[in-house]
Amino acid sequence: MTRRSGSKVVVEALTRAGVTTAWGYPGGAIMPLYDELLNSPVTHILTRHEQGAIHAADGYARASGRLGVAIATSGPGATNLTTGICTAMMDSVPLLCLTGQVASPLIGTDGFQEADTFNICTAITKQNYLVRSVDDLPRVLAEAIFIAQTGRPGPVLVDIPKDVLLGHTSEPLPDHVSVPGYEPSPRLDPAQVQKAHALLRASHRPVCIVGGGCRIGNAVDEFREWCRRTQVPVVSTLMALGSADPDYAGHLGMLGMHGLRQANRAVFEADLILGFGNRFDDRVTGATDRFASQAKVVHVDIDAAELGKIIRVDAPVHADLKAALTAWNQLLEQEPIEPKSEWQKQASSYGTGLVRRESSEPGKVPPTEVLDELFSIIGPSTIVATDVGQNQMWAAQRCRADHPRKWITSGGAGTMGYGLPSAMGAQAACPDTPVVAIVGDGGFQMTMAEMATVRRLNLPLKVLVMDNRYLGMVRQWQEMFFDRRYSAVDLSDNPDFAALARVYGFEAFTLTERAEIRGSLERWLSCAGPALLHAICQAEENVYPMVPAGASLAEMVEAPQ
Amino acid sequence: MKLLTFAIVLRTMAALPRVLMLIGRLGGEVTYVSAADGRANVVVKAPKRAAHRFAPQVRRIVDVIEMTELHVVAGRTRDQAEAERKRKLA
Repeated sequence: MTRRSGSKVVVEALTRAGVTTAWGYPGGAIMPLYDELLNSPVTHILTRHEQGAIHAADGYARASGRLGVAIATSGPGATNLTTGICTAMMDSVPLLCLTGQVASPLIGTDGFQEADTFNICTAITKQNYLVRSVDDLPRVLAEAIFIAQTGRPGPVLVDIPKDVLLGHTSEPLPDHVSVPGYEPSPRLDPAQVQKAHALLRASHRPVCIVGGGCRIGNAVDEFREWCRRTQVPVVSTLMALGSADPDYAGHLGMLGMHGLRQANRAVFEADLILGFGNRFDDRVTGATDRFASQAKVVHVDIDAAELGKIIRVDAPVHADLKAALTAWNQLLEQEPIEPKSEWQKQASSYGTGLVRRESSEPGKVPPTEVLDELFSIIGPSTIVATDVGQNQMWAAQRCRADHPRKWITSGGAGTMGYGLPSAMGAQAACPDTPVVAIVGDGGFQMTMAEMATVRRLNLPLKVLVMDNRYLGMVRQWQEMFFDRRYSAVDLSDNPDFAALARVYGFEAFTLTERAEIRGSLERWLSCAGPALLHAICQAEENVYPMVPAGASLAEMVEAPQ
Repeated sequence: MKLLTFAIVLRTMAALPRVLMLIGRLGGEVTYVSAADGRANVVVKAPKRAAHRFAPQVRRIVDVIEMTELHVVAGRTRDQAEAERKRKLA
């Protein structure tokens, strides 16, 4: 093997892993890598902030199923990545984060732009490395790429001192990666599937909760086949929207804190819960002691640590969801069950609990009506990325995606500022698919500088800013649980986002009248390049239904009539 | 509280802080650690409610090659020993 620089090894590793796009922001310690990127087939996209880079890499990974790559320099460059790393960790997104580090002799001296990136990121990465020798770099990079994408995926960080990037090595990239003790694909135990099948056969009111593992494990086809065979009612977690076939009559929508009435009631009444690649998050279960209290529980997950973590499980299936459902479908072929169609009909009859406001304030539009119209226009094949807060929940309640890779949202971490950059990443990954970013006025202002990146790439991204001049979800909680004492939620001096977008080179429109909702949406969506629609929304609209924190799913608060 | 005892084989000793940080995050109090040459024995006082989460989550750490949960048979308390001594002397 010829000797080459550490920077060249990085490019070699990326190229071999099939990486074509990396997002990042340069700085002193990472400059040798940026120099090498000039000669590489990897397209580097310069964002306006490291947080934009990592959210874009995250959106790119979620939409495409490929590895996302984010690059930053040492110190503040690396620390600016941390919110995005945490976001990816919570939602199991395969990311490779490459950070520069001060030269080895300076580590521990409080050198310029030195931060202990390795230790800062220990708790928010699946695995991380500080590379001490250029000879270790090929092995570390191969391991990092392997670990990020296998098993339950997650972000892996490789912190590389400047002298390691500049140093030379003749160590080859290993052809085969072996990490002792790391078993990404547990072997399926058929007895576990048989036990789950027996519980399903014996149940009268089963409900399947499908989670993000369905998308991550590429198990959508197997899952839809399982649904077709069983006719079990399905509810989706926020991360799984799009997993169920849009035409499947048994899909009851999202469950949980802002879940639909039919989804939450079905779970509450179920005698069997089948959790597929979900993690029984507190936003899904409500009070755990009263969660599906009459039900036995089957839980399929690739991560053994999720089984029994929150909810007692009667039939754990420790396996890759795709493998488990393949085996289960074979079993259903041999031992079919009575389809649960009657129960499915009953569960669907509970209704969504979504209401349409009849009145609206002059000069403002009802936000839910804007989204109803939007989803009716864009159909199920558009990729929708959201920010976090009311905009996210309203969109989730109405999402009609025909595939979970067409629904991009920050679930576990709930990261405001995620919407625009993740949509940008998704659009770069899927240039021929329309992408819409739905953001609130709060979250948008956290990362809106990425409009410059969108413009530079000339991505045909469509951004909908739902501006109610409040941090809406916090305001809603203050209204409901803090006696309307609004603290630090006022954004009444928001700028004119349409004017701002035009400055960035977007086409932009403002929507203020209810009668113009559909026309404005159509005009905005028909733009060839990047476009923004600034919707001035009613200020004090709440998200309903809502399960208050600590309550059970049966204690939903419905919209006042 | 529940007392948990883990015998852990680590790929690198640099992973030990990750293990201890996780235990702390889960609400455990590390009462004893001995570690050398890629092996660590850790005793943890864990909140009873969350005790079942410790072993699977520690095992999930990539650099944990192997982890065994040891079930320690409780020794006699001081009161029990004193009662036994008195019984023998009687």
